[in-house]
Amino acid sequence: MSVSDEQLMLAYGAGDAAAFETLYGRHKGPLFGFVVRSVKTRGEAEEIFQDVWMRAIEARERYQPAAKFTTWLYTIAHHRLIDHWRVKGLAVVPLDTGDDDEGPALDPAAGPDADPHEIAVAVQTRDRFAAALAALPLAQREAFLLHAEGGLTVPEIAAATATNEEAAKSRLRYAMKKLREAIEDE
Amino acid sequence: MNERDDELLRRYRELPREAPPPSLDASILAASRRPVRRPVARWAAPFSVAAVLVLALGLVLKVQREAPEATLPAAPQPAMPGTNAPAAAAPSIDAAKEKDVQAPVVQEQPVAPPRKVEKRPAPSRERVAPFAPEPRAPVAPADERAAPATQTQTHDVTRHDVAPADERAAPAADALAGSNAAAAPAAQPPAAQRNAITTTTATAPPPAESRAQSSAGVAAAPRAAAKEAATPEQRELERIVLLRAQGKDDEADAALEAFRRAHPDYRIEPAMWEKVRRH
Repeated sequence: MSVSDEQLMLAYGAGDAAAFETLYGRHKGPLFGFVVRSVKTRGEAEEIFQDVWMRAIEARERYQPAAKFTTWLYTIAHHRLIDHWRVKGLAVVPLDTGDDDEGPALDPAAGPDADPHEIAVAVQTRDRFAAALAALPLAQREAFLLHAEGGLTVPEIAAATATNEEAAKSRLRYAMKKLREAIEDE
Repeated sequence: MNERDDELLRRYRELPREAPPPSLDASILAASRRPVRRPVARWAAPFSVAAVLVLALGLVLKVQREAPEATLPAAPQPAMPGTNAPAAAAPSIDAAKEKDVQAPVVQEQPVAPPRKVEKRPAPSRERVAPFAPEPRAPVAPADERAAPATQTQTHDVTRHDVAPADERAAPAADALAGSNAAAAPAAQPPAAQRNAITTTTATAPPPAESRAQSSAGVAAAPRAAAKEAATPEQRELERIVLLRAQGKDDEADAALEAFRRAHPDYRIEPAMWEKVRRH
């Protein structure tokens, strides 16, 4: 049975550096995905991503497992993003789809023997989904990303974004409705 | 969460995944291995600033308090008994520049008139320094008559008992003019005692040395007397004495008048008054 995130963080606070490496390996991908889809450029995402982890490192001795580690970590990320959005004037930022030179990535569901037409349709669907995600209002997009990337439940989203559960639930529901409409509108 | 939501999440995970660059991973992991950086207490900076300010203020006050001592000459001149000795004898830096004309003034040893502290009508600025006990000078009846009875009489007598030798405040000039001559014989201390006091004052070390020797039991009286020698009022009076010595009585009168206007509460020591007034 694997050690929980909370135990790892407590161990790290007690001086176990290896515990942090395990934690980092578990959460770096989802957290980076959450951040990179919340800001405009990859450079900004890397800066915010590093700040979030630095804050977690600095708070290692003060960490108390009152909530899930992911809730705590994404709360830090939320605060850092709020600071970023304030600097940017709370503008709705489009999704950074990465380097345009690379062209559209292959759909993971499409194997090498897939029908080119199916591949094209999948790519179009994915692009529409990405565009719809980028077009979501900040609060709704954040709620969806916390759910999709961090695996946070509605109460945990409410806790991480410092709002009540009704608001968090409403944001998540509206976000999923708009995304669903985007991929079903064919 | 229903199947439609799961389908939506699956669609999301099909989006190209982003990962932090390896250099960023290395940087974060390296930072995680550094020891905990203790946050500086919030009160540390304000406390440090306040402490520095308090120390600086204390230093400034100390320097200002010791500044008059620094201007004193290395060897104070012999003090006159029963008077504010440094005012008459110890030259300031300004006076030292004119020592060629000051010399006769210092040698001039007028008979000290009685101390007429009791006649001071407004003694609010009188200073009493607890040093150099001097034979108590009896108060001449003439003084009593010359001075109007005030509410400070009892207080002045008490102060006279405590520290008569250092009584810096001299009688008012108006009172002195009419009463000094009659009071002088009665108040003059014995010659032997005057000599003793003069000798003590003359051998007093300079301020810097006196501070160093204070722990060795050197009397504090000469040091305090030397300290008072540098007051601006006494310097002005010395200048007037110099004018008298040079025969510039008109200038001396004008300077004395200006002094009286500038320092209405300052009581000129009887011995000094004898020097500065027109004869």
